[in-house]
Amino acid sequence: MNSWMDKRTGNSRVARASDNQLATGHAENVLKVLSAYPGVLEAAVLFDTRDGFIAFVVPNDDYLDDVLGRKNSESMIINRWQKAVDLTQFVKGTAPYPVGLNTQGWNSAYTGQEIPRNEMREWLQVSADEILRLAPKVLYEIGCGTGMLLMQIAPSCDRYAGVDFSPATLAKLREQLQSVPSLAGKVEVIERRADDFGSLDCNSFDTVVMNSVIFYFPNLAYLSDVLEKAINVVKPGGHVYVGDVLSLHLLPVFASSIELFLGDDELSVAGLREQIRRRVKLQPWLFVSPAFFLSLPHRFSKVSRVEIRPRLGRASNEVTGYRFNAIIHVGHSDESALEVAFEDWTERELSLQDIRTMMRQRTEAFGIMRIRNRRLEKDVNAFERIWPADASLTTAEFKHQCAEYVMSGIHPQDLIELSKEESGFEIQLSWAACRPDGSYDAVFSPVRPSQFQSTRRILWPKPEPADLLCFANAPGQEKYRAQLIESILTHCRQNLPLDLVPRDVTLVDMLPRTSN
Amino acid sequence: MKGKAEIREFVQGLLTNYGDDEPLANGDSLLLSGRLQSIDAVEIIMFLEQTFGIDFAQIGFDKELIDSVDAIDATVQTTMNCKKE
Repeated sequence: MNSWMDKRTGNSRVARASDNQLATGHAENVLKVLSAYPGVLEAAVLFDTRDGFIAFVVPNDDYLDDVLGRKNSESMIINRWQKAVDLTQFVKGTAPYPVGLNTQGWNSAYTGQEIPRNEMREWLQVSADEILRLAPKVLYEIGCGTGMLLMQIAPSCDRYAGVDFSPATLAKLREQLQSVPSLAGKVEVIERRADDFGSLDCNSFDTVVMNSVIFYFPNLAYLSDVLEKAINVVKPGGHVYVGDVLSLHLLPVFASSIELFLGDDELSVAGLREQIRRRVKLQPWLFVSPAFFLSLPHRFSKVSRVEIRPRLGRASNEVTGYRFNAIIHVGHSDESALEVAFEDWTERELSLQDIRTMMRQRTEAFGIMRIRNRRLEKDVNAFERIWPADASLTTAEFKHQCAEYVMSGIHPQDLIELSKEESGFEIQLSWAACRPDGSYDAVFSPVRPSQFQSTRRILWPKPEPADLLCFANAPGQEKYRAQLIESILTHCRQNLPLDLVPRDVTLVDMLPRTSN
Repeated sequence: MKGKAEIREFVQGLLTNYGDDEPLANGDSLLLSGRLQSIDAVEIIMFLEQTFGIDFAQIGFDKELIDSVDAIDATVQTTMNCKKE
């Protein structure tokens, strides 16, 4: 049995199970008490005959900010990241970087060393190409940094406004801009936080870009605020491009792959598991679920649709493997959706050659879902094996076992290259389904001169309902969230009979809209 | 009393965040060894700025300057001596 209540609308719904009518009645009481607490925005309860009530609560952000003091921590987190970015520009003894490719501070989470410049060059080209395909003319970039994207994209624009919170980085950018006089008239650089849009008018840009930026954001509420403002300044027909988003669903695999790389060979598997849990818990970056972006059309009438794309590129590193791009389409669209039947890759484990044959034989659009992601396959395999593994194994022994794994997945970049070889089809990839194994979906559509398939809406496989509960991690907020949970439980203890007090309170970002 | 003891206490606090209760010698590497993460470098920098008034924009940044309690203390001493001169 489950019940939920939305405090904003006052709606409550209780799903009744025939064998626990009594619990259903009690659930309404529990919900009423939970919802009366000012720190609760929305609540749901589950009843289990063994454990009693378990509560799911969407926290009230204002309460976290103003009553529990999270707002102060938000400023501290932003200041800390600003300092971190500033510091990258003060590093002693580094050789000068080429104009437009200052990758200072882009260090691997595995080695601590700078990500190789050729890999960063590919990363930059992939991002710039994707943004240029949106045909921006009047662009606002949040977090322009040392101008890597700006130098690539501004020449095609009529006006380019770049903002960043790091004065040291902007100083470097201004220096570099002096060497490109052709940009002087159209580029403006401003020191400003992401949530500060100054006095920009509604619909004043056709594109807002936030690339490799939102992981510095302190929490989901801040991200929502920035996105709302960004959507407001984009005119209908334009886009908000949010690039290089760290994927919440892949956070555990990412943490596990780092710990396996860094871990002492003599450490036991039990110890390794503990290190992974700790890395997930103490992660300072904001990891966001694609599901959050997919919810935007429901929240903002100005948003028509959102595409979630895995990052392209051949390099095997964290910036390609664990991040995605969200492309938010602004303005009403009357385009019809491209309806495609999806074949499940896991049923036949199609090879690249199988797919090539399909492209040659078919004339209509087709889709393949759950394609195992070769780029992450080894990391996912190790992550899945670590939990059932013998806890007394050493890390070295465990790694040895993992090394026997034979890969069968398809690298996303291989599919993109296939589309170049098989010129009759265009390929689009999606991570909208939010699967924690990093598998992806692909649509193959025949190229017809009269159609622009790349701009058409596709009905991609959707996330599972459970994936909609949490939209982001909460870096540095553990204290506030624990305080909130404790105060909710205290409130319940004061207002409910002991046997109705929820056994556990879980904070979530959204509750399901239906009783199912 | 501002000094090595205070630096050590601060570093110990950062290690505790990771559940790291291994013994800490003043010469032990913190960042280059991976015992602390790069975001912790920022915590150390902010601590040094606030407690000792050190400005890394002036002296330049290098992880080795803050890689151990001894290294941090030496950075503080050197910077303070330069200020006096």
